[in-house]
Amino acid sequence: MKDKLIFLFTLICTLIIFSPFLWLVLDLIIKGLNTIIAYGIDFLIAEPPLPGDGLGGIGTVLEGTLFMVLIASLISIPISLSTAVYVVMNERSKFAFLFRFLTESLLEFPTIIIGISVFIIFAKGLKLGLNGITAAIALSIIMIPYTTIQAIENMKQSRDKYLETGYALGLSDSNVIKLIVSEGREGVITGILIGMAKIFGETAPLLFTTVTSFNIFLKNLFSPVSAIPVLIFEYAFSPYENWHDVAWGASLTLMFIVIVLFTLTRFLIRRKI
Amino acid sequence: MRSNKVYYYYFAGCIAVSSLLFLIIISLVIASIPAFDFYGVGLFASYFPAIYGTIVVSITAILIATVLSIGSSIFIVEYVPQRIKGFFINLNDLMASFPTIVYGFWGLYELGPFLNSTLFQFLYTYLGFIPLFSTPPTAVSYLLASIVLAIMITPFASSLIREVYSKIPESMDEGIYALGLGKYHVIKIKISYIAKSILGALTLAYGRGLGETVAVDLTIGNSFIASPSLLSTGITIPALIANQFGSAFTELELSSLFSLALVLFIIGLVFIIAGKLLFYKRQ
Repeated sequence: MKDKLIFLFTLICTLIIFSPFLWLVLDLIIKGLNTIIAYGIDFLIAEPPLPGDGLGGIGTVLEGTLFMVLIASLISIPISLSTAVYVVMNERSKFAFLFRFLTESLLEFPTIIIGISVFIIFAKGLKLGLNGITAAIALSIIMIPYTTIQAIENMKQSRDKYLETGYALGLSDSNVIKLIVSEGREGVITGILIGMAKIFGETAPLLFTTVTSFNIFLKNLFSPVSAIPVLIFEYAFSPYENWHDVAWGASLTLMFIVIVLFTLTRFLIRRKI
Repeated sequence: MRSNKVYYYYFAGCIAVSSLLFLIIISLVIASIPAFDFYGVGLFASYFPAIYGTIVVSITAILIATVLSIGSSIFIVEYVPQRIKGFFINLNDLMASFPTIVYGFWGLYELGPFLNSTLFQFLYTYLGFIPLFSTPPTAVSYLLASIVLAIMITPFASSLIREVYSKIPESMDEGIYALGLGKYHVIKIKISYIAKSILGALTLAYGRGLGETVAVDLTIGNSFIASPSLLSTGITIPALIANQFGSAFTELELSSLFSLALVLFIIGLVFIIAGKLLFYKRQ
């Protein structure tokens, strides 16, 4: 009897937690496609509309997001990988434990705090101002722990396999490291993709490091561009129906990007095993 | 055996990562000093509705998330057939890494109206005498924000719990069955076995929930009041900072917001470290 009850209880919990998400995905597909089909595929490159004035696109913010993610990746990949290599190669060292712990703590930080700190240090302190570069710095700080932890986990496996082999063959230290990294490359790429998927959807840090103007295409490196999540946030808050429609379309685009990245990472990990 | 030169290059990366943590703390402290100088510690008394709202929303969300995450983890590990278990696990992880802004946006325009006309109306009509449900349902409220927050942090807590739960050796199951007990007892004993890790997972999830800005900002109503009713509108610390930032031009205004961020940071750090210690201590 109790067995049946607990089955029912856990089943209900599972249904309660999965159905809102499925409902959300359905909503995104229906409402988002509605907007995109109504406007045409130019949705991805056109400018956003004026308030209350028909439909527009998300071209400016899509470009801004891609720019920020690119710069953030360029900053965070070297730092993440070198940390991961150090922790993996020196597993018993106390430093490695400390770095691992600090990285994991950074992982769960409220992202709003990171945005504020980057604002204080870079936008105000170093006078970089509010633009795509400052936002990319904030995003890279958010991305680093994700990439590092994933790379550590995956390189541990290739290290276990290839470390002794490498030294037995007489390879130098840097060549052994190259061997381990190249054999664990799916894991490293997975880490990078996971980090990128995380920062594609981050809003809070961008509120402090960019301006919320959505009509600027990139002119130079320091153009004040914005990103897709900020557009969704501002348009969701607004009272204009057409802006809500654009926000649904933008949310669908965001979901599509995240699902593609997520599927890629699962595909890569499965190939390893 | 290892030539140390190579490792210095990699060490630099580690130093960068570790220094980030300290840089963040230091920058927040330095930026908050003007506000503390001017207002003294009474600053936080004036921010009380935000602190109150943060605590109420996080606690309600974590209560919901506790039940749902433990329940769904058990279901996925114990009852789902092997073939489709992977699908559910992947779905769960996808939900955990989904952009939170979309949850907030959808919560405001789809989930909100639905809950308003069903659950919240029910709570107000039949349980309105309890102070907890004493205001009429509005489009945004503490309860809506808590539910949206719970939807966001449950998959994360779930994946942590599932990780530990599935690693319990099968010999434990077999021993309990050998005693003649049923599945209910198996689950009960296994859960109490990993109770500490579950607590740690929920603490980590709570830490995450504290910092959630935009989803809560959209669904809580942003009225600077502290109401005992869950159906009323309110404000939380991240939402307050995010909203006020755009119009804070003087040094003092900015500094006050940063002092609030410092409070949030310290609370978050406490929960993250506590959660980690609980989660990783193997019994």
